Amino acid sequence: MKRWSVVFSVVVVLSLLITPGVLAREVKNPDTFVVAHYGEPESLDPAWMYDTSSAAVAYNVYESVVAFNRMKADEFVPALATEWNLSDDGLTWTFKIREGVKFHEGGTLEPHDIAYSLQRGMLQDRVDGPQILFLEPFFGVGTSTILDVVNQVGDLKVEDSSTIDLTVNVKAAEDACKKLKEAVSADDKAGTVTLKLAQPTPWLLQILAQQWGAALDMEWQVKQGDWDGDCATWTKWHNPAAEASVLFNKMNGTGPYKFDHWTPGEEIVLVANENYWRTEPKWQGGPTGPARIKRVNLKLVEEWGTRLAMFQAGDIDYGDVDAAFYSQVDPMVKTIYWEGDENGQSEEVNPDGQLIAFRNLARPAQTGAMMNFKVNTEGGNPFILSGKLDGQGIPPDFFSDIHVRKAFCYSFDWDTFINDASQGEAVQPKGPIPMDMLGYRADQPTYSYDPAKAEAEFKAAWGGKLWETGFAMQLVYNTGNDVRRIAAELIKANVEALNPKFKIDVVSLPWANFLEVRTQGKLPIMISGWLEDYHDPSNWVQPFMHPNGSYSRMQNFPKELGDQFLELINQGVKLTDPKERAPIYEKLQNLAYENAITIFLYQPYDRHYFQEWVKGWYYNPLMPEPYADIYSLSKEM
Amino acid sequence: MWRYIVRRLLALPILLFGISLLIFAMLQFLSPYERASLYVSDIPKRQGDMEALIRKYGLDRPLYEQYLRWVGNVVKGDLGFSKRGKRPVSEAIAHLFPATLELTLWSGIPIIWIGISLGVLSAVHQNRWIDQVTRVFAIVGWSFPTFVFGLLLLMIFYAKLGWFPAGRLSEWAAQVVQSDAFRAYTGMNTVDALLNGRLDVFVDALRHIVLPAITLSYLSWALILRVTRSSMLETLRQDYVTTARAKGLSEREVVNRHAKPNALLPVVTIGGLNLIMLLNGVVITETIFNYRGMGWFFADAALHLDVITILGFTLFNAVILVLGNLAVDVLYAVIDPRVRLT
Repeated sequence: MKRWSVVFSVVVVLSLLITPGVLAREVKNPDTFVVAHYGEPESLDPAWMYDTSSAAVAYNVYESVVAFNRMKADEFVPALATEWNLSDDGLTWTFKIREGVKFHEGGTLEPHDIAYSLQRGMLQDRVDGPQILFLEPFFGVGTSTILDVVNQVGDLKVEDSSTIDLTVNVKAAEDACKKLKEAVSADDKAGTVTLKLAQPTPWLLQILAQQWGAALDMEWQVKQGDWDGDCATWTKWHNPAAEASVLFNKMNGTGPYKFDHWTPGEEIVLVANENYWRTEPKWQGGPTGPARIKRVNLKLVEEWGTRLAMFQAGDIDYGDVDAAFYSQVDPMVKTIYWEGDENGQSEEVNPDGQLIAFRNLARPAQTGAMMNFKVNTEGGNPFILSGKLDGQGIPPDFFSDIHVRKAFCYSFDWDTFINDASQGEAVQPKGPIPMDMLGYRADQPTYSYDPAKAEAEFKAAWGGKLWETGFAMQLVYNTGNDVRRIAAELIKANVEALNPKFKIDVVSLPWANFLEVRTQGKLPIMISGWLEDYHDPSNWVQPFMHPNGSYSRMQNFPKELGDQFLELINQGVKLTDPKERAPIYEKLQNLAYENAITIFLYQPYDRHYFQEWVKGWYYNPLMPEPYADIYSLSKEM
Repeated sequence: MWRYIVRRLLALPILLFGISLLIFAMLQFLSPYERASLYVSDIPKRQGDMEALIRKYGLDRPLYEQYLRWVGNVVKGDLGFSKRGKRPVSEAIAHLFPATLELTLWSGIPIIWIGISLGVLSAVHQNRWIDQVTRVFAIVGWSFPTFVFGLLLLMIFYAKLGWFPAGRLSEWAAQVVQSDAFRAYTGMNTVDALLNGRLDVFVDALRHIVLPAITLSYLSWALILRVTRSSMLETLRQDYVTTARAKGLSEREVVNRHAKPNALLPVVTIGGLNLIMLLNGVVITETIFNYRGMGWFFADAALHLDVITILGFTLFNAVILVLGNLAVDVLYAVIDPRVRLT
C-alpha cells in the first residue's frame, strides 16, 4: 500500500507539472489577449464614463461615426459614417451613415440611433461627467451642464444652474430637450445625421471618435428601461449614479468585440464579434472581418509582484508597469521600439528577452499640485489644523497670498522628482499647456528649485508675519500613488528645511475619500493629473484655469483673477485661426506662471511592455489605455 | 451529546441577536446617504430626493422600527449594496465565499495532517535530530512574513518554472467553467470540475491552488506542530502510557491508540480556530496570488471606505465564527468522552 501511495503521489505531482505550456516557450493563450491592469472601470456606460479604464473597454466594443487614423489624433477615417462634410461657416456637420451594420444584440444601425446616442448622453449629463465636451460646442461657450440649457431656454435666470429642480421646471426641461433635438437630428430616409453647433469646434471629430460618440441601439436601450427619446420624460434618466445607468454593466455596440461578462474586482471578458461589418481596412494593412484574437480578458491585478510574475510566465500579453518598476522589467526586453510602432526606429537589446517595449511616448497628460485660494471649512477641516496663522495651522485663505504660492513653487525640486518618480522620463511643464501644443513656448519663464528665492518669498508672505509664526498643514495624496507621494514628500522636505517653524504632514487617503474631500474643496493643495480629452489647448486651460474648471473650480480663484482667465478662455474657444489663437493661449500660460496658481509637476513620457508575440501595436496619444484597440493586434511568433 | 448540540443551537439566535444589535448600532454612525445604500444603489444627489428616499425606507422612523426592517432584510439575505463590488453585498459574498472555502479546505487538510504528524514525530523523538529539524522548521514558518514567503514561491514556482500559476484557473479552463455546458454546483472549481467529470479542469484548478495553499499551510503548520508537540510530551509522561508500555504494547500502539487521542484536545481548539480564521479570508495570500476571496474583498472595501460592505461581511463572519466554535466544541466531545458538555 505504501509503495502504491508513493507511486500515486509521484504521478499526481508529475501530471500537475507536465501540462501544456510548461515544457517550452510558445505563444500562450493564442486565442486570448490577456491584460493585467490595476484600474477597475467605474461604469461601462459610454456617456457616463470619464476614466481611462472604462474607456478602454468601450473602445473595443463601441464605434462612432469616425475613427482615428491609427497613430494620428487629428486625422480620421470612416467608421459608422461613410462620409461627412462641414458647412463653410463651420457650424453644421452632416454624416452619411453606413448601411447594413448590426448591433451585437441583433438590431440594425440607423441614423436615428446615432442621434439618440448623442442626445441621451447630453441629457444624462451626470455631475463631473464628460458631457461638457459636447454641450459647449452645441450650446455655446459657458454651457457646462444641460441645466445651463434649461436655465437659458426657460429663461429661469437662476444664478447657479445646478440648483434647478427639473421636477418643478418641467416645461423648461422639455424645451431644452427640444432645442437639443434641433441641434442633433437624424433623417433615416436620407441616411444622414446632422449636428448644428453654436460655434465652430475644430476638435469635434476628436471627441466623436472617442467613446462619448458611441452608437447605441435606441430600440434595445428602451427595452432595457432606458430613455425612450421623449422630451417629456428625459429628466428621469438625468444624472444617475453609476450603478443606476442601464448600461452600467451591459454593452451593446457595433464594434469588433462583444461584451461577455464583468466580474467586478476580477475581470472583464470580451469575445470577438463574428459578424463584424468591416470589409475595408481602416488604414493600409489594417485588419478586416472578425477579430483575429477571439477573446479578451482584462484582469484586475493590483499587486505588482503578481503582474511581474505573470509577465515572466507569459500568462499576460500586456501589464501595467509603473515607472518605479521599469528596472525590474527592462532585463526581460528583447526589442525596444522608439517611435510608437513596429515600423519606426527599433533596437534589439537582448536576444534572449521575451518582451517588447515601446518607449519615448509623449503622453498628453500632466500632474499639478493646485493651491486652494480659499479652503472650504464647512463641517470642519482637518487639513488646515488650527485654521489660523498661529504656527499650529493655516488660515483658509493661506494660499491667497501670492508670496506663499511663489514660495511653494520655488521649493519644488523638479530634477530630483523627475529622476526619482519617473526614472528621468518626464519633463517639467511650463504651465497648463503641454509642450508642442498651440500656446506653448519654449522660452516661457518657469519656476525652478531655488531655496534662496523660496525663503525670500516666505519672508515677504503675510506682511512678514508668516516667517515668525510658522505654519502647519496636511498635504494629501491618494493611497497607492507613489509618484504623488514622492512629490508631496519633496515639498515637505524642502519647505521644512527653510524654517523649523514650518510643518507639513504628508497624508494618504483612499481614492474614494480623496475624491470626496477634493470635490468639497477642503484640500489646501490638490495633487491631481489630467489626460487630455482632445488635442487642443482649450482642453488644458479648462481644467486648470477656468473658474468652473474640472480642477480649478476647487481652487476658488478671486473673482477678478477668475474673470481675467475666463475672458481669455472664451476668446480662445471662439476663434478658429491658429494665428489668432496662439497669442491668447500664450498669455494664459504666462498668467498661470505670474500668478503661481499651481506647481505644474511633470508631463510624462510613457513606456509600454508587451509579450514579444504581440504584433500590430501603435501609439495614439488619445488612446485611453494601450489595450484600447485589440482588433488591430495579433499574436504570433 | 445531542442535548448539548440542541442547547447550543437554541442559543445561536440569542448570540446572533446580540451581534446584530452591535452591527446595527454601528450603522447608526453612518450618514443617511450611507445607510440608504442598504436599500438602493442609486443614491440621489439632490437634497429633496434624498429626503424622499429617507422617508421611503423609514430611515427617519424610531430605531426599533429601523432595526426590525433591517433584520428582516438580513434574514432575506439582503445586506445592502456594495459600492466597491458594484453589486449587492450578499451576491459578492456568494461569489467569493466558495473561493475562500476551497482554499481553506485545500490548505486546512495539510495544515492539520502535517502539523499533527510532525508534532507527534517531534514529541516521540524528543531532542533527537528529527525533533531539532521540525522545531527549526516551525520557528522559521512562524517568523516568515507571509508576503515574503508568498512572493518567493510565486517567483520560483510560477515565474521561473511555470509549474503553479497565480489566479484560480488558466484561460482555457476559465472558458470551460464559464460555458453553459459546465454546471457550477458549489463555486469551488476543484469540486465542480470533478462533479462535471472534467479531470483536466480539476488538475488545472489544483495547480492554481497549490501555492496559496502551501503559503497558508506553512505558516499554520508551525503553530499546530508546536501545540501538538507540547501536548504529546505531556501525555507521554502520563502513568497510563507507562502502564501501556509495561503491558507490552508496541510503541506504535501506545502512541497512536493511547497517547495521541488525548493529546489532540488542545490541537482541536487551536486548529479549529485557525480554520475559522481562514474562512474569514486571508488578505495577503489572496492578493499575492490574485486569488479573489473574502479576505481580499474585505480589505479592498475597507481601503475604499465601503462601509456597507464592511458591515455586511462582519455580520457574515460573525455567523461563521459562531458556527465554527460550535463545531469545535462538538468535536471536543467526540474525541474525548470524558468531556462533560454543559
